[in-house]
Amino acid sequence: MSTLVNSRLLRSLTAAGSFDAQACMNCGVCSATCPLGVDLMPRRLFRYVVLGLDDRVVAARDAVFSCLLCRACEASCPSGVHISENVRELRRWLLTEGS
Amino acid sequence: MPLALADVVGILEDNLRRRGSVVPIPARRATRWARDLGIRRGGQTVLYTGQIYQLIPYIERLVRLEQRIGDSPLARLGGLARRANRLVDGVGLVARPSAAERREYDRVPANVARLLRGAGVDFGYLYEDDLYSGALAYDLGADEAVAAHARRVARILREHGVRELITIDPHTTTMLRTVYPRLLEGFEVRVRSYLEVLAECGLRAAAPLTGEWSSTTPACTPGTRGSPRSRAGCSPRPV
Repeated sequence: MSTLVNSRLLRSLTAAGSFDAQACMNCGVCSATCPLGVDLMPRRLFRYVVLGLDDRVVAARDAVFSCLLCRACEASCPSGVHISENVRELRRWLLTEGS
Repeated sequence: MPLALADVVGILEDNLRRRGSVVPIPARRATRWARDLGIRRGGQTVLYTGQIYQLIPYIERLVRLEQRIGDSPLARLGGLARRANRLVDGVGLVARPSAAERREYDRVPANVARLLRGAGVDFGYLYEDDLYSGALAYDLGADEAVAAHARRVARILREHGVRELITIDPHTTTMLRTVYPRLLEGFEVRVRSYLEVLAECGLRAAAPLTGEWSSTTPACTPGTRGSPRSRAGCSPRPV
C-alpha cells in the first residue's frame, strides 16, 4: 500500500502548542515500557500523525484514550519526546476536529 | 459494546461546565471530612483538596455502572444519556456510594489536616468553595471546558484572598501549579503538596523508619485497581 504524506494533521496539532511527535525516532522503547502493553502506543500512533493518516488516528481512538498518562514511556524516551502531552493533544484533536 | 467514548467524555465535560466538577457531588458530602476538625474558613494559606479523594467512591460506582451498561443494549443510548444529563444531574442519581465507602476516603484529607496541624502549620479551608481542579477533563483533552473552569477557580481564590494552596494529591498539585499558570495570565498562587510542607517543617519521625516500608498512594487512577496490564488483558510484547 502506498501512502501520500500529508502534513495537515501534524500542522494542526503543532499549531496548538508543544506537540513534538515528529521527534520520535520509532525505537519502540515507549511500547516496551508501557504498563498497559498497548502495542500501538505511542510510536505507531505518532507515525500515523507524521504521515497524516487521519483515519488511522481516528480508528485508534480507544487506544489513545486508554493511555494512563503515567509517563513511564516519557521517562525512557531517548529523544525526549513529550509523549504524554502529545497524547493529550491527540485527545483534544479527536474530541474536536477528529470526530 | 462499550459506551461511546465521545458520549462519556461529553458527559464529564458538560458536568464540569454546568456543575463545577466532572462528577458533581453535594457540597455537604465534599466537606463532610472537615466537619469535626474545626478548621477555620479561608485565610491566605488553605488546604486545597480539589475534592479528589471525596470523589473516588462515586467514581468507583460509576465505573462499575459503566461496565454493566457497556455489556447491555443500553450502551446504544449514550447520546440520549448525555442530553438528559444536561437537564438533570445523572451522576447524582446513579452514583450513590455507601456511607462506609465515603468514610474510607474521607479519612485521607482528614488525616492530612491532622498531620499539618500536628506539625504546627497554620491553614484554613474553603469548604464549599474547595472546587475540583478539572484534572480528569484536562487529561481527556477537554481544554476549553478546563480553561473556563480554571477561571472560575481563580476568581474564587482571589475573592477569598488566598495566596498559598496546600494540596493533597499529585493531580490537583499539577493542575494548580503547572497547568493553571499556562491557562491563566497572572495566576500566581503558591502551590505546595502537603508532603513538601511537612518535609520543609524539618520533622523527625516518631518511630524509626526501618523494617517494612509503607508508601503513599496517590489517587492517580481512581476506579482502577490491580495491574494495568492484567486489567487490559495485555501481556508484554516484543518490540
